[in-house]
Amino acid sequence: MKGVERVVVAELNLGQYRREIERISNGHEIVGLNRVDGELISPEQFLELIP
Amino acid sequence: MVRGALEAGCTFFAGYPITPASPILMMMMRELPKVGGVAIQGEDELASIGMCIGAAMSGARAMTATSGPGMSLYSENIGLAIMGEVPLVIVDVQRMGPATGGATTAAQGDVQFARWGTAGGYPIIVLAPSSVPECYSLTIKAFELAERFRSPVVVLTDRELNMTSTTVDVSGYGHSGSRGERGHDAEAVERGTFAPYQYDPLDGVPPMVRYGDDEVVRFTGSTHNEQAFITKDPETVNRLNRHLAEKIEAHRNEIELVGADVEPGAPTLLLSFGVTAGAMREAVQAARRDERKVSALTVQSLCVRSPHSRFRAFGPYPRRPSGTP
Repeated sequence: MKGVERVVVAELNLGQYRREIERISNGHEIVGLNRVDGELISPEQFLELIP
Repeated sequence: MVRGALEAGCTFFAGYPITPASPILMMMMRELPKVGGVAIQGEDELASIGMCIGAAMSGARAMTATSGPGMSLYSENIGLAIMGEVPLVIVDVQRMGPATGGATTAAQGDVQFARWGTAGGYPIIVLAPSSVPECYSLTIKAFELAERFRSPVVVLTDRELNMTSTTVDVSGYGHSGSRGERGHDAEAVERGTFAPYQYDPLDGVPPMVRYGDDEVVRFTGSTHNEQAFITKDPETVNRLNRHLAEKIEAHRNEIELVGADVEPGAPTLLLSFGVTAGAMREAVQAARRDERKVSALTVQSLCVRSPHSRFRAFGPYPRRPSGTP
């Protein structure tokens, strides 16, 4: 997966798994996409983070 | 998940009702007796997981299911299952926490609790299905890993997946392993060397013999030697505790499961698990229709520590400083 600049970690909490990914990343931008309001993350929310 | 458990040869289930995990209890009560198994509604969560531990040590393939508040009550016995090296499948159907939280509210807040939710800090395998077919296939996988490593395995799911009705052709997700008799290592018995906690090398997995068979089987939650006698001998205790971690850590290449959808040259990698991965996959399709490049990883096994990790796919793995354990 050469060329990956940014990793978006999406989960229905405040970033529990994102922190795991941050530990093994090597210079990548790690972005959390999180919800804790009882609603699901929508495809549109992902799309907003895809250039 | 019930269908997956039945396919894996589950013969014992005990649980206590809790939304949104109750459908598993109800379906197990209906389906397990049909194949000669036993399904019990325990008087509470403590009793339910305790029954499962006893059943597993007696040769059953055992499973229980609960939600976050139930996992809190399971915590002590999860530790017992780790120390006793009990093959056991635990389904955590997540709901909003902490405490009573939201019984029918979507959440994925038990990620770290499922992995580390008992005293001592020893690893537990956690699988996270992201679709109804994966609920089936990863439940089968959970039974395989529980037996392979003599360890509790958590299937971490959520309200949406557990309360969704979908028709699935399971023929493409069949169980490839044996469903033969469990819990009796005839080889070790024949050699005459059976000991209930015999492991060599450190990452080895002790053979199992059922309670009630001819061989003496002991079980304890205390630090113990290979005969399961309680000990505080530093060398034995050190070896035991390192073994409990090493039998999982050294075999992460068997445990780490990732579904990769890679588009060469994509600058953005999406990563998710559970119900959230469904929205992610939908977004990937929509982005590609717009000719936007994107890759995606659906994480099916929530552990990423190994240098062998497939997560290296998105970049160089940082070396540990020398001397780091």
